[in-house]
Amino acid sequence: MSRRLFLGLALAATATPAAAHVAERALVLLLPTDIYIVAGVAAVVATVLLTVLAPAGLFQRFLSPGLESEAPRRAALATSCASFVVLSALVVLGLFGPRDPLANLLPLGLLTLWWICLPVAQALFGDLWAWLDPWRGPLALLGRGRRRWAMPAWLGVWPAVASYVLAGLYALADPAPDDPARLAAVVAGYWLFTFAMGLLFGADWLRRGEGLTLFLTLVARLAPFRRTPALSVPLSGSLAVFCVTALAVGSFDGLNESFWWLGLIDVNPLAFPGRTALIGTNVGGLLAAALALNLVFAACVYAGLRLTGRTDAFAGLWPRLALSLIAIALGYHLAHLLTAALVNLQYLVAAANDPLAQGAAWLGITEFHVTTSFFNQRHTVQAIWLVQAAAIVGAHMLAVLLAHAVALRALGNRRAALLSQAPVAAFMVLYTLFGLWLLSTPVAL
Amino acid sequence: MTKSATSKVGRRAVLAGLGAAAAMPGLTRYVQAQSSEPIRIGFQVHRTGIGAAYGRWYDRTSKAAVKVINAAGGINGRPIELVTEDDGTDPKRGAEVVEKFATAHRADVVFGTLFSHVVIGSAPRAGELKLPYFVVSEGHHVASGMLNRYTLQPGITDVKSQVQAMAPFVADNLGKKVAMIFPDFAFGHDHRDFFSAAIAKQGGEVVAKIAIPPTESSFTKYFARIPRDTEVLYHVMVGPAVLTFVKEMGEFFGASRPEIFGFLDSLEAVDLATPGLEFLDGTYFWEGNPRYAQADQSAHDKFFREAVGVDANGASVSDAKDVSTYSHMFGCWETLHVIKAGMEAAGYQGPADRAKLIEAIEAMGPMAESRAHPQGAKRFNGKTHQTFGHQFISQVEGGRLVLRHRTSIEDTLYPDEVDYTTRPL
Repeated sequence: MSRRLFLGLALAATATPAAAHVAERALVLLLPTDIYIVAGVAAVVATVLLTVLAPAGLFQRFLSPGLESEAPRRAALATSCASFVVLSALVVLGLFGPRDPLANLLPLGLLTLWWICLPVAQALFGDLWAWLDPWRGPLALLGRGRRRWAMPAWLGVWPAVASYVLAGLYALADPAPDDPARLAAVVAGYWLFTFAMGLLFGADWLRRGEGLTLFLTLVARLAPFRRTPALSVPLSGSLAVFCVTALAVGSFDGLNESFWWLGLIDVNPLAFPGRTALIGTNVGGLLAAALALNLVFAACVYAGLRLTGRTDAFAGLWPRLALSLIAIALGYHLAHLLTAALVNLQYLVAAANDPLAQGAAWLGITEFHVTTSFFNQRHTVQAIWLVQAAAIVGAHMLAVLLAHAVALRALGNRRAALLSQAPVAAFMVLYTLFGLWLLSTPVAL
Repeated sequence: MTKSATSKVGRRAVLAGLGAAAAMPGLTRYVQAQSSEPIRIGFQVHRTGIGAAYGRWYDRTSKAAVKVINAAGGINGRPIELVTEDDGTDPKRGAEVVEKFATAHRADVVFGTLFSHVVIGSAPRAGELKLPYFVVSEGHHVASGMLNRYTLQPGITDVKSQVQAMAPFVADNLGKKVAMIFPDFAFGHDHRDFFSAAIAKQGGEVVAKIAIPPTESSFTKYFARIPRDTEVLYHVMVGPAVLTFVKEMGEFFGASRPEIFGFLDSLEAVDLATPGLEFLDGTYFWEGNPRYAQADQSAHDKFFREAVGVDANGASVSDAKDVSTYSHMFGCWETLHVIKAGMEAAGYQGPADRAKLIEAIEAMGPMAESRAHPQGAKRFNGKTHQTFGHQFISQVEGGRLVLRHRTSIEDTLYPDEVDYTTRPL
């Protein structure tokens, strides 16, 4: 749901599996998920083995040549302005339209269409966001000729880390992230802040300061059907932290609904006390998850280099390997938010048909009932689960291949690359296990 | 549409209760001061959070009821405008939403809350604001006296009356030695306590009380604790492990099982034809309102289903696999009709008449089965602010629920635990 851009709201979606239905997880608990999990982990292990056995040249294709995608700038500025107008209209609707978050196009458009669906589209078709971002156009119009300050190089992408984490906190810990008026205020505030930063620092702020844009840009580099945009930010420790943190935020959002986690914080999942009661826990949990995952990942990278006696290569390899985690973050994103999307996209259609909730039928639909029956039948629940699991497993397989290709290029020799990859590969195998377990374990919905 | 029997009864009761002298000026004023300004009803709904699956059907039912009421002239000739706010199934947020209804939305009344902890979190604020707050929760919190004069539950019965009304049927037809399996928190404890007391009155006894930790997902070890001489197993498991519970229960007992009785809360909105639930065939369930249209279905139930868009199997007319929360959602429909009847009886004009509305509803008493009360007749207790009504016991037969018993309202009554009418308005 929302992470990126606009709003900060990003994660709200996650926070809001509005469609939650107890039967879904109840049916999942009856599926032979043990077998699926073993098969999924085995597939990732096999991918690791492939890196040992297959010819080295095979992997370089996973590293894009890094073509700079020069979007026709004028056209992109026009679509950006149009995007800004649409966003403004949605904010107005959020403030004055229907109060029901499932009837208001602001939360549905931002949290479902934009935040859940756009990253997946980016990963398939490339950087659509370069056309849709609501700042670039207005900045070009209003910021022309202004003297800009240069963002200090030492800032790296730390502002993006901060804004991404804030968006994550809003989505995961705020009591009502998809309340239309609240979301409208947050979106408007975040747009203004980013716009002001854009006036000060130019487009550099969008690349290095705006976390949701950075996430979408990184995801777009996975796209198979388009030439991949070159990395527009410097490789640095802050970029490594950004990638790992994005994965941590996506993972915690999911973990925090599990019976395991709720047991840990002594919350009865069957009498879930509501988000307000868990603000502190969710803030602490998300930050702790981000910190822990960063430490573990950096330790894996370092340990691998120690095995090869190349610890001098750490600073260069760490962010490059971390970039491969973006594939896993996207896999989690799809797996975790798929069920919410299946329901909320229906509400989106209903809201588009009747944006003011006054009985209109702009799309000509006179009677529309949202259904969740696919959570109620074994075969559909199984199909949904398998899609989610495939996203997790496929993402990890891709990450393993990307990481190996990165190590090959950085270390220059196959043996060193393999050895240095052992701890990171183990990390990815275990993370696969974690992701599949998360899909199979009882959760409070 | 013809005026419902309920509103006639309600008005008579009010006249009797308040005295004609007090009520007449209000009625007169209403006639003279007709306004077309909508009556704004704040709908506090679980759109997100753990109550969302229920919230979807509460929303659908409430909108259907408003459509029906408005098509028949609204309330005192004024249309109802439903203002929906999501409370996230969050008690603290619930209180904030109540506040918003009072201040930002200028709602006349608030209704619709289901989950008990949200009711308990929201009701005090409604009381402070003197904002009539109609809950559709089933909780015993209203009748227990823990809430306030402005909180009422006129459209759905409470768990205490539901559970106690099961005891006569269980003792007479299934057995007197009952083992109870329940989740180990307030919801389960209510069942344990209310049913233990009720079955004792029928000469039966609870031979085992097996509490299951809420995070448990494997149950076989608990079945081993069921005494050999158990005649009836009473279960009220809820949550994502419920299908696992049924499956393991089937594996444990095989063909030689005791009689089994449960509350449909476990499987509300779940298709009984789901693979794995075959073991439930022949077992009994409490239902708040029969999910499957029965052979003797009333015209009122038929009308209610059509208006909400639910078929004879309790599923959506637009998707036969989309099973509704049929045991609970009628409460929204009936509550909205009670609000209408109460406002008409009180000659409700606006927020200044909120206290009169409370008094009018407190005076209501019996409500006849009708389009306004498709689940059946009710008896509203003005002192405890709780309605009482028939309960249903159905048996699973080929993946459907077949009605076996309809309790009397008397079976559901218990001594008053509070008299809210003595508290100031």
